[in-house]
Amino acid sequence: MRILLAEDDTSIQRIASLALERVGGHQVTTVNNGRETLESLKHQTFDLILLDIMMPELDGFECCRILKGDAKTQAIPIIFLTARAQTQEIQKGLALGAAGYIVKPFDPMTLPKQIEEILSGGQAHAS
Amino acid sequence: MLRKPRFLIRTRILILGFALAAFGVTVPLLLKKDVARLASLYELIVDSEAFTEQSFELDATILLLTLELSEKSDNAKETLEQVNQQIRTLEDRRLPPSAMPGARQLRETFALWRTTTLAAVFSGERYTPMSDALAAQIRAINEELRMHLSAADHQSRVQLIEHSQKTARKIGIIASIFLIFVLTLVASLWFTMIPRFSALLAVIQGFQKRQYKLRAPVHDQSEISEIARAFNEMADQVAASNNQKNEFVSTVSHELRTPLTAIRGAVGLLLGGVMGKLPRDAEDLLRLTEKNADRLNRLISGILDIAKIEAGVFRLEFEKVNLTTIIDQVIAYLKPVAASQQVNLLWNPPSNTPLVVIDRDRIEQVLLNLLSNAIKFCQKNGRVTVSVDLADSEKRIRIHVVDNGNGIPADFQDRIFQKFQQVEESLHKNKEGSGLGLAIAKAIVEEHQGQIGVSSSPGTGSDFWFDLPWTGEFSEDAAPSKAA
Repeated sequence: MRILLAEDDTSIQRIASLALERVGGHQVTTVNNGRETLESLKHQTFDLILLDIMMPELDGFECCRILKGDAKTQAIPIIFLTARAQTQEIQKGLALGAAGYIVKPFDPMTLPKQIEEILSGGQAHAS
Repeated sequence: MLRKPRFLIRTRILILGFALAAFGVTVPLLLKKDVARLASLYELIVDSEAFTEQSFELDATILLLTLELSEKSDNAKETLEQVNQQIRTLEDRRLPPSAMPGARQLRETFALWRTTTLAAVFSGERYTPMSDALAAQIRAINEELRMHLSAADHQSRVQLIEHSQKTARKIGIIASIFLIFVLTLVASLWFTMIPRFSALLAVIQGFQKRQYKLRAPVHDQSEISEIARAFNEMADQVAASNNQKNEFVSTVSHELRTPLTAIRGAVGLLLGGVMGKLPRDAEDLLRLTEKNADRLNRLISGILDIAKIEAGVFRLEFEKVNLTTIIDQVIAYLKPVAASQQVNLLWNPPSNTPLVVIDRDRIEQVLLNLLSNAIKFCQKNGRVTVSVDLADSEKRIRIHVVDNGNGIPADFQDRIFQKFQQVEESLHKNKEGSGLGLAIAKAIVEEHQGQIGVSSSPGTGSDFWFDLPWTGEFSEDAAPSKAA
């Protein structure tokens, strides 16, 4: 699976990439914010986008809104990675069309499995 | 700002004071004439009584004089003077105008009698038929006067009664008017002040319960509204600073969680063997790191929860759920933990499974906290029992978590639900915890309008319990299997 990971914290970028690549066997491209996410989607196509919510320049919610409003990208499933496990935030994300959310701190060893569960529609969230 | 007539409390109190003063001054003035009239009537009655008495005395003296004259007594002259004196005294009496002619006639007749009698006395003859006749005449007039006075006296008494009644009515009317006035003012104060004070009090009490959005109603420019306005300004400041604090804690938590996610993630990957097999010692150290990262994460979550509770933004999402299912899940989750510490985790589900309206995640949090604590503080081969008490008819359910651990000292039981409180003994035994769990559990239970408490005696164990509102309904699902 080709995954686009948008995360402003380089440490988490690295951890998540490692987990997704080595544990899940996925192909990961990392970007630092929402703007870069939109940029990379112009040239490449992905099977999944992992979006952090709090990012500089363009935050996860806004980025999700743009992606879901664009016919070219609206079919790509989006999963939020968030440190804010507040119900309102989660509902806002789901209302924007996200497939689910993963609460930080996440367990990297089970991260690919959590993603799998969300995409199979088994559960809307995992933590 | 509302611009209503400025009818202040102090204005009303002033009016009330003036009204009282006016009443004090006006009432004697209004009743002055009546009092004077009543006094004069009373005097008339008293005078008339005195006159009648003296009139009888005069009669007696005249009889004595007539007797002395007939006996040619030497005392006659003296008695005559006594009669003279008594008639004068009678004349000095204040008499009703109708009695005046009688009194005059009495005086004239006496003057004639006196002359005649004196002449008789001095001539030595003492007794004359004329004098006798005049004496009889005087007595007749005297009697007539008495009768007349008696009639006048009766009339005065009737008037006194009538006038007294009239005055009493007048006092009654004045007092009623005054009373209505005072009652109206008091009622206006009462009915404006009491509801407004109650409303203000309700807002203040709500604010104390961290409902920071509440504001006191401001009606006009009265004193209570001034208080309400001042309170609202203070409330705005408190709410603003609270929001800032909340925002600060939320941001700090986020900032703390991000590096923690990286640490926890890196350790997780290493322990997961992503980088290959690790030496035994390195793995032990990484497990230690993982454990402490988890602990730090729990602490951050706890602080964030406490901050939310204190900021009044702790929101619950209620749903109707099967209580035993929730307890089943928590028990299943903690069973490995209990087993690793060689503690028996027992659960006695009720035969009927009650339905409760709760925030499922938060009540799970409470159960996890109470059960983890109970397991943590149990000795090896100890026992932790969960039970549900449905006996309460008040539509409440009590959940007990009972252990046979060390128990809690009595002096600590009062403080145990406050934040950052742990039994000192627990610190020595390295039973790490944030000291926030029970404070959060208490807040969650209280948000469910329930109570949480503990009964414990050192050495025999503790019984932690909490109440949840119960719909009174039972689930139609089959009773869950017993977990042990």
